[in-house]
Amino acid sequence: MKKLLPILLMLLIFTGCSDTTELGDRAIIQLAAIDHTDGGFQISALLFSAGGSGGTIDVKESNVIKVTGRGSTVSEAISDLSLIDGKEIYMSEAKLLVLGSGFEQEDIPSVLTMLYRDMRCSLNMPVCCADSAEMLTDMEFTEGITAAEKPYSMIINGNLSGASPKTTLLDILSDNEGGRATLIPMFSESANGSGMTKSKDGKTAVLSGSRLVAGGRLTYTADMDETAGYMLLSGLSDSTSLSITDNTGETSCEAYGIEVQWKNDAAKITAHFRSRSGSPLSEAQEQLAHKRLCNIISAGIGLYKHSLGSDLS
Amino acid sequence: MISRYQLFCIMLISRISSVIVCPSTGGFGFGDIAAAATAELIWLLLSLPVLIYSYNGSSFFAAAKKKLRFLGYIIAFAAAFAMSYIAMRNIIFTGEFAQRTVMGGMSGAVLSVLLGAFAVYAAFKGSEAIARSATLFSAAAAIVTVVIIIADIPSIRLRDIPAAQFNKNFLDDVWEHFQRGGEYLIFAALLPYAKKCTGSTALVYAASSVIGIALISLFGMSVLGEFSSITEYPFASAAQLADIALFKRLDGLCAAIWSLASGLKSAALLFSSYAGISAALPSKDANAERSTA
Repeated sequence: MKKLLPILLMLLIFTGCSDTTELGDRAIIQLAAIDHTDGGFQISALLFSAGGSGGTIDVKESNVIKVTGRGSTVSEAISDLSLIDGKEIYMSEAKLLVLGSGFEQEDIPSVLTMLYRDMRCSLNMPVCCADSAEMLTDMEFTEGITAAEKPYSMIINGNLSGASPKTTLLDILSDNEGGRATLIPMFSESANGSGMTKSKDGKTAVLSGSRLVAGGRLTYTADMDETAGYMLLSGLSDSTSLSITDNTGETSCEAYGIEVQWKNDAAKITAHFRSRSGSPLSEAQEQLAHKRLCNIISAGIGLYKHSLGSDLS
Repeated sequence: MISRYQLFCIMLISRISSVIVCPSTGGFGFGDIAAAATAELIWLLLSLPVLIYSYNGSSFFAAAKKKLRFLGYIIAFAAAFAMSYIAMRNIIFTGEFAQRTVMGGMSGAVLSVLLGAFAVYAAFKGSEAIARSATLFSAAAAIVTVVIIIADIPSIRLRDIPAAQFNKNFLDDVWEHFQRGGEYLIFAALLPYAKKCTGSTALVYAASSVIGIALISLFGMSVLGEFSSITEYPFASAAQLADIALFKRLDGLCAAIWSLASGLKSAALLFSSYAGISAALPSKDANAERSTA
């Protein structure tokens, strides 16, 4: 009995092996787009699919497949997704979550909490929005190992240049619990020539501003200037890219070390300016850049005040 | 015999493991830390007779039985019952913790059974085995915790943490933190097994446990913000955010080390309940063990 007992206890450990799923039987979601339309939820997901044969990835083959599931709840839509694809859904490696305009009426934190607790989504997963969430899953981006990498890198690059926020699942849940509004980046459809996607008419998706998540729902829509101004005022960024036009032509420059001080309800804005190449600007160019910066911050003041407004919980 | 440092390690790792493994009380702000500190103070005040008597260096339960007679028996059995209750509660919570953080494929009950078997086996091996294991686990847990904190540095934000909130939930939080204690009972029971150990060990433990709990709570609040109040296991959730080079998703490592540390706490509690009862009851076996330990 003495020798049998440890063996019996060890056998208990193997009970975890009864419900295993092979890697090939998992649908690894790279990008998920959720929207609420026609009284139900729709999830469009880009799933990783190794094109090629013999267990190797063929870069000439498409390595994502798009699957759409529908249901009266998000859980039902995910189950529908699993049924259609024939694999168990695995969302822990999702690189981006897109919310559609249907979340102007539906509660976002409850959906995000379900994704975190039940689908094991990472708290670090970036969240963005678009008028039509499915738009990003329809774009066949040509860059990156998977199509989800391009919009993700757009958000990262936009955040580094001070043009767009980078909001994660944790940010939204934490701010909602604290009664604060959250700004999330917004994508829109655009046409900028060929090459970015496989579309022959040059269609692509670009960052076009942001939206506030207040009271658990999508509210205010902000353009690029409002977004950049809000990021400077709220401390999410201390630099921004500017474009000025003078008699020498168009110049792209950067404002950094930006400080906004309030005195008698008036804002005093100080900043340093440099051109993209690192060379200093002329005095006239600096004045133009300063004026442009003031316009951006003025645009952001309205959004900033709105985020602190009484309509928030 | 075990050293006072080993006894300190047993007590500290037991307390810290219960903070990480037990579900969050849902508090946010310094009110949560205040509840933990209040519970620790209550334990310390209740254990004052033990701490004062510890300077004599002999078994508290044996002395209580000798001086108080029947009341001494009651004290020993009540302490054993309390320690057994805390050990069982700890095993159940640890099984759920392991199941919900990393081992989703296994039943929480099976994990609790395995952990209970580990605790019983460790208790059966005696005080020295528990003490050696506690020292090793303390070192491993300290390393893992420091690695998690360092890996989460990019996620740390200095936030406005609310001041202490003394509302009706405060007493519930204090009672919850009180049930996670029991280390002073371990101290009372293991004192005869420890050489050159006095009440100063318990006082150092009291200060260290409050500081440790405060640091872990502040870390969770600074990384997760208000989300720490709605997640079950804030420290494990914060460990998920680790994303530096090779140190990614450290929640698995966190769950493994602290689950075993929590099992060791249960082992220490089970052994201490046996030691307390055997000290109160006249027993040849207990006397022989103390003379050879």
